[in-house]
Amino acid sequence: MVEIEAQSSKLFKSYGNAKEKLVVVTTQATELVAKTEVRKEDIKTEVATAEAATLALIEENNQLVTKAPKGKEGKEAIEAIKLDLTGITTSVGEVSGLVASGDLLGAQTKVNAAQQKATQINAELKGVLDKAKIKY
Amino acid sequence: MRVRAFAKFFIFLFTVTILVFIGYSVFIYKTNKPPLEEINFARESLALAKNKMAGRYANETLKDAENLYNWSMKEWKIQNDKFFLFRDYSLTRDLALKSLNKSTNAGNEAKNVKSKLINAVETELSKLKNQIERFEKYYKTLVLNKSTLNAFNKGKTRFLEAQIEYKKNDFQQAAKLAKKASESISQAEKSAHVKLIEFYENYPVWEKNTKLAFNLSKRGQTVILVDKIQSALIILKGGKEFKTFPAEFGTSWMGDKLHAGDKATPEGVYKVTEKKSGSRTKYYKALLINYPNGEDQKRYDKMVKSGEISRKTGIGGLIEIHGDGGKGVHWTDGCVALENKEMDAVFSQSGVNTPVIIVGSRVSLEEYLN
Repeated sequence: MVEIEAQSSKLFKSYGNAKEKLVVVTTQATELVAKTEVRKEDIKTEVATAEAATLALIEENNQLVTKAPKGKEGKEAIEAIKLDLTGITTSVGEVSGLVASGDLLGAQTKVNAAQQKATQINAELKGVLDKAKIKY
Repeated sequence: MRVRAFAKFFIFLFTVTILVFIGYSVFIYKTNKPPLEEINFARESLALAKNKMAGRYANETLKDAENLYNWSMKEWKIQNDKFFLFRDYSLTRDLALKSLNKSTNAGNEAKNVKSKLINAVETELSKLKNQIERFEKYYKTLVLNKSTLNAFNKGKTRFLEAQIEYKKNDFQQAAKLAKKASESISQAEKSAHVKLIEFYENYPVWEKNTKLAFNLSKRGQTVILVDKIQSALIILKGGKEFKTFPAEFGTSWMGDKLHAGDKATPEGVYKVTEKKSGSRTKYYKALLINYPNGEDQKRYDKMVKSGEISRKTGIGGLIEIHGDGGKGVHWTDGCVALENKEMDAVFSQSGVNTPVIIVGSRVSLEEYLN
């Protein structure tokens, strides 16, 4: 725009340079759009992978919960872990909505936090099972 | 002659006028330069401000700068559409300079806001980390209701999300999530603290019984002192803490045992009534205590009479210090569980009539929290 107006201010106008710049800018903009799309797809894949891994961890944790000491032994602790798992499942459930609305970075954060928590719970559950000498 | 002289004069005048006009036009063209430099400075300054994340941290100021720049460009175009002699770039120049000034401010503002935000987020995250550690140390082992645990879990998740956003350099989002985390964790901490205060209502009795335990021990007796909040069983000898072991209690260990099935561990002054080992116990080794004692029975009768406890509900019994513990959670129906190796030590140090004094805490709430 500046180049065009600069030429328009002159008595003898020459828009050749402006045209060249426009071609460069258009090419760069097209490349940027393409790169952005690629990055978006990358994030979507990352989110989907992390989501699948988290869901698998949640599933494993649910299985471990069924193996956890039944009856009076550790019941309260298991109940607390179940509550935590429910919270994580809800959190993972919100990820697809964020992806659909285009908030890919928000989805990435949510799923990564859920994955971290699911991993912590997995270790916690395995600790409970180890203490109770139960194989998993 | 006159006509010729007049014609000559007219031609001279016309030539002079044309020359003056050309001179004036050249002068105007040369002096009335478009504000290209100012416009370029303004444009570069806008780009610089955007690089400093002014769009995020000084959005209003940046918008003002952009509006001024766009206005300047529009004004430039208006002037360019005029015949060059009538062009006036002063407003274009003025707007470009104002835009330059505004975008410089936007850049500086963004830098300051970002720096302040980073500090605030770092402080908040560090505060939250301490808050979570404090909750896990002092409150998480308490018998808490679902809403308290949910609030804590939710807060912890938001804290993790805030940490991730901070690492991604999205400090605004990190601040938002940290605020949400703080709200949830503070709510959980508040309700857990209320629970702890309620639990500590019996502290005067515990203090008296702890003193009694130490006094009995000073008089030469081996005394077993159980501290619920510290999850500890302490053997007292000669008025001193001889050995301390981790202990596990009933799932509803906060509060005194009132009746059968309440999964609470009793509080009070008891004694060992029987030592069990081998086939006489299913928990490795056990020391049976005299629950219910006179005081327990009196309270139970009173509660039955007032209708607080149904007549069909018994007072309970068979409270023991036994083995098979070390599970890291409170899991018994009201007994005190120890790891087998530690149970061996306690078993060998105790005999029938060894005093067993169970208290909620041997230290005050203030000491516990410090």
